[in-house]
Amino acid sequence: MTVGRKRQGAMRSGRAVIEIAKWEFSRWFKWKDQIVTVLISVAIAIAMSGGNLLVDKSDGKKAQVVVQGYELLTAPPPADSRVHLMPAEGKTEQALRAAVARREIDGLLILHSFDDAELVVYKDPLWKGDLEQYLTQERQRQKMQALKLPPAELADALAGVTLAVTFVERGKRGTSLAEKVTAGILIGLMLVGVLFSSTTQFIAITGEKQQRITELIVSAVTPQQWIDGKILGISAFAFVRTIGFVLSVLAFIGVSLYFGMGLEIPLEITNPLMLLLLVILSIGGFLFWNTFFGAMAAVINDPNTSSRSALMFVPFIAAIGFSFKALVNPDTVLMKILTVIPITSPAVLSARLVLTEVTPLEIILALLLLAFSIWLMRLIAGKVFQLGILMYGKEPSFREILHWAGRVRIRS
Amino acid sequence: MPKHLLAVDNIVKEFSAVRAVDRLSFQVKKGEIFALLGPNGAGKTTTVRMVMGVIRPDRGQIDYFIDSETPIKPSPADLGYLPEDRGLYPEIPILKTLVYMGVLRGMTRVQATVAAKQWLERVELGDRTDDKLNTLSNGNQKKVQFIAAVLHQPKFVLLDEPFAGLDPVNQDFFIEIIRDLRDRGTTILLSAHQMNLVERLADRVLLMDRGREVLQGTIPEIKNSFPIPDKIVLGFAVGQDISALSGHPVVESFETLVDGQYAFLIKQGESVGKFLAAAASLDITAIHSESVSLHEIYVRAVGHDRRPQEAGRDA
Repeated sequence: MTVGRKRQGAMRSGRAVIEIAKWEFSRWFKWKDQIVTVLISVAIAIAMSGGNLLVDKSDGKKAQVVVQGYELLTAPPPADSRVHLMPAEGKTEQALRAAVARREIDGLLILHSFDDAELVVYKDPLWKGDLEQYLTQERQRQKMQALKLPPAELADALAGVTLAVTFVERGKRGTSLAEKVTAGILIGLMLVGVLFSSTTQFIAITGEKQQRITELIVSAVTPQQWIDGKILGISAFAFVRTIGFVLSVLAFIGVSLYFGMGLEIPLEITNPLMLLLLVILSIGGFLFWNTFFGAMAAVINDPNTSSRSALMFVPFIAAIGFSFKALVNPDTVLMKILTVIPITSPAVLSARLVLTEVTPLEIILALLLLAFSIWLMRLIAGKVFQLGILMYGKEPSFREILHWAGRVRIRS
Repeated sequence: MPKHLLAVDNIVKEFSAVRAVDRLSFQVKKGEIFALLGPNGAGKTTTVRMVMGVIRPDRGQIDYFIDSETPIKPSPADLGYLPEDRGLYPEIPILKTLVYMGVLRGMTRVQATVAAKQWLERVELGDRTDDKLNTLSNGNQKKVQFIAAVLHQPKFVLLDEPFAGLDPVNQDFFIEIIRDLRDRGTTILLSAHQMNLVERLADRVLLMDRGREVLQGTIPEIKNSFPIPDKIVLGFAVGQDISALSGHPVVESFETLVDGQYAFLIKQGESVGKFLAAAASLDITAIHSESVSLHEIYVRAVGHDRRPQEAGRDA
């Protein structure tokens, strides 16, 4: 074969892979689904924020509490307190108790002293903590004033304490709740994305087997081209779907922030290099697992009856299960090992990048091993796919599958 | 340059304990319709799959000579294939599917779209380009599947059971299209078990049984090489006693047909005139002769008329 003919063949091969990838992507990707997902997130965020607003609104009125012994208080509760205190203005305790029973007021505070106080209410109040906190501060303030301290010293005595946290292990920094949530979301996105792509891959391949499409396609392209195109197209689909989920999460956070729900995004994740790494890891994870699921789907004859349908998800679920351990402590030896193992690296490294300091060596090693394993898995998937895709009525044994996988030749 | 486009030499394929194809050899000439004929289980589909490269023979050689004096590996654009298991994507519009198939066979998207629309017009589905395959009738689905095989104007087309599941009108329609393809220069290899249809269509046939060749050649060659008696069909008025005819010395066998008609097979070399002279004494209402069909030749050649359950060992 001449060099020109070889090049032409390679170009045609590449074009076929791209065409298959485009076909698979367009077959599964629906704009409507993407938009609906984002809109649902926004709707949920609005619903949740709206619910909070309703709660806040009811508290915004502030509980109306009449105080017998109001003269003992020197300052009103703080502005953000959910309690509004009022003097009894000559009303009798009995009359005020009756007002509580009729729910004309929310409570009656009978304040003989700060050590002898009683709260009369209709039902257990949500604002009881606010009232207790206020009374405690008021008591402290009055006790300190009794010591006749100068105002500056009094303010200093009442000031709160802020702890500066340092860690014994070098380079280790604290992880905020937001960082943990973000890391959890990244692992969750990997879980959702891979489950999406793997189930799509599974439905696509077993469906084509059952609908007897395989022979027609295999007569036009090689099985390796076909599985390559499928892996690319469905991984792209999973990636775009994941972007859709990210947009949904961002929309959720955006709406939540607008309504003051107090969610935040860690600043580290907005670092472009960090974002690039997260994107590469996501794509790598999807490609890796899609090669695995593509090969497995080819050896399943009937997804409704085959026990392999569930079995094929076990390695992935186990990998994700380990990855969540990173949220507890991202710097254990186990997490450092899982950072570079291709089965777990996309999820674990993504989480650790947010949670802790990861050395460049770990990142480079993880990416190289992931790239190599994708390439190797692709060849194995091609071989298993080639032999499994045209098998009807009988599923090959795991021994046969391993035998086929072992026939892969690594060419330099 | 060789006159044949495909040369199959002594191929063998076994599945477990079954030898599906056994030392089969044939050549397909450029521009002809070559038919593999035989009942279910004869090894036709296995042969077609091996020729198409979907499975490999255990032994033997399959060579293509597409625009070449030496064997070459054909490109996807050179070949068209209508498998026996002829699924297509049921949930996708038919034009989109056909364009995809055309592109996989080397066409540009524009070429595939133009060709697909032309074909759909030709098979009277021009107004249903955006319909999903599963909304079409069975016959129309088969038309779309056929288009997927020939859309890219291949030089060589393999049609595995192209008439399966078609009504007589559509069978005639497909015969016309396949002839037209041949007339435009496409070489066609088809497999079928409807011998009467193949007899009308094929330039050459290969009769198969249990993976082996039984007979091969043009229809006249086969008929000449395997002479069997003439068949005379007679109709009689009600109440006629035909025992003298059924037991006549020149009659090899006879068969009762409908409406008081009987088919008599005359022994090879015997005089038809003697038989007709004996028949003239009866009240004859109809008379005609039939040439021997491929089916009859096949049955005689393999020495038995295989029942479906005997034949159901297709690999």
